[in-house]
Amino acid sequence: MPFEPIITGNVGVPNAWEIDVYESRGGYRALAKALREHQPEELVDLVSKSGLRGRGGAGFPAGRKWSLIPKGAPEVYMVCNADESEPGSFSNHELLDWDPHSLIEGVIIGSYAIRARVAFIYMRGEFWKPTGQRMEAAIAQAYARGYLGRDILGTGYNLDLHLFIGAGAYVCGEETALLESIEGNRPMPRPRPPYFPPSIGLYGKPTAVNNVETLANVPHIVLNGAEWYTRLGNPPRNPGTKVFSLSGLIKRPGNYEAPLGITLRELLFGYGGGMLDGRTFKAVTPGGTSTPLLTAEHLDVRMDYDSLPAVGTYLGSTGLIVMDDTVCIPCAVYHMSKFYQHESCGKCTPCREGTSWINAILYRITHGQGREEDMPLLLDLSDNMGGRKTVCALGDFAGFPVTSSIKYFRQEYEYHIRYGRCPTSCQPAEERQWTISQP
Amino acid sequence: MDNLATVTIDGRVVKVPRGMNLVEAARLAGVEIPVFCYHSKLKPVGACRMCYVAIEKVPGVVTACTTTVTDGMVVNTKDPRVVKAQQGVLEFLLANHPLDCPVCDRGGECPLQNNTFGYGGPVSRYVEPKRHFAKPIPLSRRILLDRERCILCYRCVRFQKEIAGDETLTVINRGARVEIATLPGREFDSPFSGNTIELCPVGALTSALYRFKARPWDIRSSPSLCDQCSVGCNVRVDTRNRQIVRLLSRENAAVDDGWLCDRGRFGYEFANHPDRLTQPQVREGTRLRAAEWEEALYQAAQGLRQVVSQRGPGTVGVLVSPRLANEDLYLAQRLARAVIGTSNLDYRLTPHPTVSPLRPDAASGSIVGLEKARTILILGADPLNHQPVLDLRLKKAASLGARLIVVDEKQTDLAAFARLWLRPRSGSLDTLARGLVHLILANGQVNQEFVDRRTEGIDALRARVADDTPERVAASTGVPAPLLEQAATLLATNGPASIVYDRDLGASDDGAAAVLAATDLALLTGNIGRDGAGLYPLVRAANEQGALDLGLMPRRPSPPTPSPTGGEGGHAGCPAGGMTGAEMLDALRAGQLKALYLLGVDPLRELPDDRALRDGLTGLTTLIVQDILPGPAQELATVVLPGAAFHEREGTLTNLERRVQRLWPALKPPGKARPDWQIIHDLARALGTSFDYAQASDVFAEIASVVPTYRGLTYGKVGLKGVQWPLDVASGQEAGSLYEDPGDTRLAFTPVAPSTARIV
Ligand SMILES: Cc1cc2nc3c(=O)[nH]c(=O)nc-3n(C[C@H](O)[C@H](O)[C@H](O)COP(=O)(O)O)c2cc1C
Ligand code: SF4
Repeated sequence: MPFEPIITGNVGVPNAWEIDVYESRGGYRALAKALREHQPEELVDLVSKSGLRGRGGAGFPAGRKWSLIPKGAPEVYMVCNADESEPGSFSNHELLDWDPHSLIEGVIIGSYAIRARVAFIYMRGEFWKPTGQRMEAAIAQAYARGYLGRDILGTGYNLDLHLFIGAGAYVCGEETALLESIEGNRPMPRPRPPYFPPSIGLYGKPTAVNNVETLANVPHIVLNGAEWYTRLGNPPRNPGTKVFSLSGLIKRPGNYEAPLGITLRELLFGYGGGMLDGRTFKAVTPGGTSTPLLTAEHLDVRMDYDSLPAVGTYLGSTGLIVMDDTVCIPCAVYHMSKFYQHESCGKCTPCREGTSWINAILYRITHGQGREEDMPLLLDLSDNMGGRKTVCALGDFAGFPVTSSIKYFRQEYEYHIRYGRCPTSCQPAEERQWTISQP
Repeated sequence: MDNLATVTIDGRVVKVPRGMNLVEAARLAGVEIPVFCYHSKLKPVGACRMCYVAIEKVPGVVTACTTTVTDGMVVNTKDPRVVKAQQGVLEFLLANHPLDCPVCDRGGECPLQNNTFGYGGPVSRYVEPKRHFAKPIPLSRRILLDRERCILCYRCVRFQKEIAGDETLTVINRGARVEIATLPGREFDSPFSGNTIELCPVGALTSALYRFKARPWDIRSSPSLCDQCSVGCNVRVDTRNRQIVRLLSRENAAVDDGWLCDRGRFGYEFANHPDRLTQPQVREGTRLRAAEWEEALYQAAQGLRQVVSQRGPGTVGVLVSPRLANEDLYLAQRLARAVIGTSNLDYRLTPHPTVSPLRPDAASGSIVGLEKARTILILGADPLNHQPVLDLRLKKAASLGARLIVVDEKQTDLAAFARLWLRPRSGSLDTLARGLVHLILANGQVNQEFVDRRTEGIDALRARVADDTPERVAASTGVPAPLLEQAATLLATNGPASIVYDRDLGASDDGAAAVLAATDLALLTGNIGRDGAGLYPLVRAANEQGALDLGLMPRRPSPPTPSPTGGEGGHAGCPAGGMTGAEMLDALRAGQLKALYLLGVDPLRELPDDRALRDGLTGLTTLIVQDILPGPAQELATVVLPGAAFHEREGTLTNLERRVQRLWPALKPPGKARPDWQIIHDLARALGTSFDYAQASDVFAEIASVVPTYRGLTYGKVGLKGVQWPLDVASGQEAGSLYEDPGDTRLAFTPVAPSTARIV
């Protein structure tokens, strides 16, 4: 491949998580440069000019987010979102595993840029061993080397960085739920307005929440300049690279750093090695299950924050679950729906009730009890819980696989409903319908 | 630019304050936006998703509760997208709802029923089995939770966290499995738990007392007051079949802010008690037997006459309950002073506390005024236990930014909400309070302008606290000097500041001196006479303030006897001297009292093991007991007279902020029972006076004519919300704050050494 990885450069390097190894590969040079040669506002400008967009899913420009933090606010926070729980996404995990220091370096630079004195890395609970422990050790090393704590590198800048381990809920990745969790509350997302983190965030103070990969890009931009970054990927609106997680029925599953704007075809058939022998491509979740499916007709679409919305889906967190011709789409979507009914935090009526209801209907359809009216019902329910009708986007997410699969694979649903069985050889899980009946 | 925004809601143009949310703005515009989770007293959370509206130039639909108005906003609550989304929400809510409305307490007054009626779709498409939970489960002995009915609006959880300030309720599980729950191993033990029943928009939280007792449409409701403490929360009494079935809050923003404590809400059972006294009784040998009013009153009058003529009026005592209404208290003192001719009259059985020298003897500010305070010193007071709903107001003040300074050795509920918690060793409250006075003087933090213009006696004060240096105070109280400094500085510089203390604090020696120092602190810092700056001696009983106002104690100025009705009793004017309640108990033990009239008090209930007291009561020639329930003293009575409970009569109570409020009859008294004022009136007539009050309002009119602080008050003026005395008759303004007007009289710093300052 003609492509030099940027943020995954240390993945696979033996002991990359040790500070000596990291430094020997140029680590913490960006930090020194940022702190010694730049005023905080210059760094905000630099990142803005680079065009770096948030890798957490929404693609919000990172520099712009930082510039929304009010200047002169006495107390502001930087929070790194390392909760990665999207089905199909495992790119942050690998970065955290191999290269904790590059994230720490990015966090420190970002904190300096917004003048935060306290920062958090919020890590999903399931990552504790060994990823969290490595991060903890890495933070300790960074303190010991004077990259954290008081008077960092003699510049007078102070920063404390805390690792916060979550208790394991998908919704904790939603930034306001994440902040609730750090505050010790039940992680139910906050309504925005008024709780936009850059205005009212952690403990009510202005807060920048950024994804792991977003922050991991920052040291490279500091070292190489904004200009350099704007030439990568699919400029001007989608510069840089993205780590794509390929999984499912594909020859070489794994994480691949590739330029933004790469075509789906090159990603699946180039990087991923194509379909298993004798199989044909059927569908993929471009950004994890929380994004509408793409099909064979979309293979030439470019994978970036603007090209995907043009075909009705999103880049999300680039978790590509590949489905081939052996997969029964309604059954696959039924499994996805289990995730959402389990992970809805229960705050919003439509999401709380709708995720369970959709799951129950899909259970019936995939277990031979579908009715003609179920498909319009699924579409209508998804509409009643989607389109920004809920506090956070989970209500939309849960409907995406349902509506997109009905759009592209309607005949498979019809088959299930008409004949009470699967058109593929897929065996529907022999599980009982999920009901709640508790003492 | 003014502070108003112009918004158009369904074509109606209104000007509303900026920052107001759309639900409230629509209310002002006369447009209803349906809600479940939204409540004006709680922070909007946007959980139920019922209040969708469409806003011009904004994509999709948004929730009105989380949207604040902006100038020029054009809102449509009937947009087809809104209608569909709301139908969707109701369908979602009903999907798992048991629809057991016929057996649900809320049926008929249920927001879920009402919103479904108003905004729901015609059919449900839900064919799956519904969610099932065991129902109901007790959260406490008072409150049950039906998780199937719960629509998860989180109002209860939010109330406990935001208003009550405890976290006794929480949320467990996720998605459709979410439940409201208590903390592991604990019950729903908040003293304010009952409010959640009223907040619940469905029948999920129900009252153990009220469950299955009534349907809303066969209940009769009447306004009333809670008579459990001196806050005087406004209630709605719901009755059915001549019984109270529940008390609900009847919001009075100035008093209760719409809340009740559990003691008040659930404490009505005494009124329904099967043992209620319904018939007068007279003694016949060793037994009491039922009698008609005429006979009982005759016997009571005879008994009193006999003692007065044989042993003198000084051997007669009258003890009243400070829960009785002003009308009762006023007539009781007239009966004692002007008819019987005794000043052995009191509303309390324990010694009177030393009180602030400021007159009148009452809180200078208002309850709602506390919200304006920036600093509040809470000195040896525990509102959670004695004035519970005031505790909520103090927490509200704290959440509005007031700094609380709690001075108490014990960890009171408010300590957790305090900026500073000073813990003086027991017995050293006076030293601590004087230490604060010293610091303010020494640090030059005195409000000199106020002191010069309004007060007198600062030099003596300076001399008195000269030795109370922070070092010494810290040594003897155990409170570190820096904390003292911080407290003094907050009080002096972070105004307006209010000082709240338990009026009974002055009953102990160190408390007495602390009470006096509290007045000094208020005067030194100029914190008196306006909203947020007040001195609040907290009384405890529901009409203790009324008892103080009407002079229900000896050696206090008493209301003059009005000539038209008082002339013939033979004992015009107020006999000097007189025994306090505590002194009367001593006299009883010593066999020196011969007749006693107990109104709503029973000394043997307070002191069941006091043998000497029992003997003294047994030895009385005449013991008249007027009450609503049986008690130990009645067994010794010569006459028992059945009174009426708070919801069976007219009358007024005066709360801890001088607010005179009305009682209304929701029911007739049981059997032959009568309102207390009427019994006193009847007894006075039996004693030969020409007392002539046809109704409670006649008594109140007389109070207003003879008690200066009550001048100008009538039942009509008191109305549903009450009036804080004194009323400015010219302007019709009630008095939020006393001591507003400089006037001529100066406010005096504690004039004498504390030990001799006892007022009573
Ligand atoms: C249900 C839900 C789950 C999310 N999970 C994650 C996550 O695991 N990691 C993440 O970075 N962002 C997640 N997000 C997006 C965050 O809310 C937020 O947009 C992001 O952290 C911002 O970082 P960025 O600007 O660097 O992209 C999630 C959003 C939703 C609605
Ligand atoms: S949309 Fe779902 S997950 Fe998000 S806040 Fe609402 S209920 Fe919770």
